[in-house]
Amino acid sequence: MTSKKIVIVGSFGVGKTSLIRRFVDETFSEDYKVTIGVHILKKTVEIQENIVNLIIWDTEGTDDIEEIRKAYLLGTHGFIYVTDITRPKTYENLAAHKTYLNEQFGNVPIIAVGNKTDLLAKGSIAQMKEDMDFLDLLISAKEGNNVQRLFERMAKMLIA
Amino acid sequence: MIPDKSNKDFIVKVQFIAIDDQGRIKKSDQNLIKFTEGTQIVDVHPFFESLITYFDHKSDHIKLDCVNMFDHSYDIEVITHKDNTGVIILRDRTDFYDRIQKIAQKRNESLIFNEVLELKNNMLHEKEAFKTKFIQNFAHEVRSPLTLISAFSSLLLKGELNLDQTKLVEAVNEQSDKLRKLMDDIIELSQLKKGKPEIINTPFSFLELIESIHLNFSSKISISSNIFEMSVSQDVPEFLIGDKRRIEQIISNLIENALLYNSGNKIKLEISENNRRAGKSSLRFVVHHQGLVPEDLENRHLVKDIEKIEPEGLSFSIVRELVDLMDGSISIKKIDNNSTQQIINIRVSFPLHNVEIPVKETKTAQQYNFTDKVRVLIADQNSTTQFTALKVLVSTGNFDTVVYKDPKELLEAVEKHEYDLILISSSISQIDAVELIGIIKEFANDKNKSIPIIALTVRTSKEDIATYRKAGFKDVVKKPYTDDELLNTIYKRLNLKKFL
Ligand SMILES: Nc1nc2c(ncn2[C@@H]2O[C@H](COP(=O)(O)OP(=O)(O)O)[C@@H](O)[C@H]2O)c(=O)[nH]1
Ligand SMILES: [Mg+2]
Repeated sequence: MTSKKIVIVGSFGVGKTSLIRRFVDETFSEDYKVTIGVHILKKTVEIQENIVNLIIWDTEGTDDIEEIRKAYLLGTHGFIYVTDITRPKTYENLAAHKTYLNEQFGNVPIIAVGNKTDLLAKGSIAQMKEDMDFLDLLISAKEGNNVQRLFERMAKMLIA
Repeated sequence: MIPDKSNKDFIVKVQFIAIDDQGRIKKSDQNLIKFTEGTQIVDVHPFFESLITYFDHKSDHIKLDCVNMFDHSYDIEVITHKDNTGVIILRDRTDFYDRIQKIAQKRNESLIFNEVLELKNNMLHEKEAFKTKFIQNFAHEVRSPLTLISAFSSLLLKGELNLDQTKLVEAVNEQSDKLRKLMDDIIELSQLKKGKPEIINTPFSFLELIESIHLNFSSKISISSNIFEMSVSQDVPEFLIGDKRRIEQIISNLIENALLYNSGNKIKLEISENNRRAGKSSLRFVVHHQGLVPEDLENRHLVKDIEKIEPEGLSFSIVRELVDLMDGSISIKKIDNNSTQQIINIRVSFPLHNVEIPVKETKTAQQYNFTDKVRVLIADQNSTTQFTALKVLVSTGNFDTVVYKDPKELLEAVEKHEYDLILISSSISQIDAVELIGIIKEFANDKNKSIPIIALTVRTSKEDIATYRKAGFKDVVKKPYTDDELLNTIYKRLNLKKFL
């Protein structure tokens, strides 16, 4: 059994906390409660007969990734970078932030996701996928779409 | 900051936990979290599970602020030693971080709100710009065939027609003028909405204007066997200094609007003066009609979205914008269950001394009989305008015309043949008039280099005209034009002596 530290980063309000709650507790709330500091949650997944403890760090959202307290990021095995597809500001700096993370914390996997797909008009997700090809996965914390797949994909990358 | 009585902020509870080299809790006080000595610290909370990676046979001192566990927020220090033992220090800062949380909550909510607002705003702007452009292009497209209809019918009316034919053609002429006005209104409104309206203040006879409005509407309204009444109070100034066209637009549009919703048989216009102050007269216009207007008409202007303005609201929307432009006020009053007043107040300057109003130019073109025909080259791709210009010129018997649609052939012609005049429509084969005139000047033979070139175009803003002039056009004729407008301009720019 191995433990892997995954840090969720991204601008405030994009749904980092909601994503984790969906994954860990299977719940969702419309209310927005700003996260201060870090919350650490855990969920065990089984991937190809490996039991992996995912220790998920939910950070407070900052516009500038360098503002995240570095100590939080020490020993991270993988990052999930969450953006809100309805707010361009939240994915504007994705490329630069990915570069920064790789420079500071080594070549750990980073999965970039676009959250809140449930807010899109029906039928426009395919188009959105094409337009936002810099994102690895489109998800909805509210409806749960692709949430399980996201963490499984991360776990796979971490045990490989 | 003044500490509150309990002094909470200043008494921070601390807990020390010693860890052995197997990750077990060796010793701990129980100030904050209950730890059982001898158990694995990783089992207490997932936070400690990821802490274990810090214990790596080295001495280190790490600080982690604001770690949330068990509904509290801790500042944590982790001290590790080479023998893989260590000490963890917890400080409970829950009260402090709760306060930070409240501030951040407010800030983030408002940031997100503004972000979303800005986004919506941008989208609206783009949509709006697209619509304005679309409307303008559309109106411009419609102008060409309209030009033809109005020019031809006006030409026909000058010829020999029997009474029935005259009546029919008059009707066509009138309707096409109406359509022209409608197009102009649409363009006008989209310009007004775009917010670059121009007010041109000149002295004019207000009474004359009112008279002509009266004349115009009396005959128009009598057709539908209704009555148009007008009363003008004595004190209204005879002359005004203002934008005559706009003022006329306001009054006419109010009457048009009344006509639209009228269910009785009388429309009345009242003009009076509220007061005079600082060289300005506050004028009041009231248009009465029977019948009601849609409840929301008065507020439709609030809809900034031009798409939502319904065709029948067009004249009222223009009035609204114009009155705003003149800092006036506008209201619709329901008098009883079956009659309505539209009321407008605007302040307009009036001259303190007698004024001389410049005499109006005569609009009909002079009739000439040239001995030599004027050789005209028309460059135009749009067959409608081509045809219009052609017909107008031919009808006078004074012009020999030739039309080119293809720029290559056109250039060959100006090189080989001699002309007296060139008319260029806004663009042919994607080459716009300004580029075209440059090439013509380059290719033309010496004789043709000095002849007048006139642009026929829908683009007639100040800047557009300046661009045309700079490029070498002698004059610009605004589409849609009447036969007289076209001929007047041509005669003005030709050296007439040469042909008489
Ligand atoms: N419609 C929709 N709303 C979401 C989704 N995920 C989060 N939200 C909402 O977005 C707001 C911010 O979510 P939160 O998880 O606190 O964002 P964080 O600041 O990144 O942790 C909350 O009001 C959530 O209800 C989603 O997938 N769809
Ligand atoms: Mg959060």
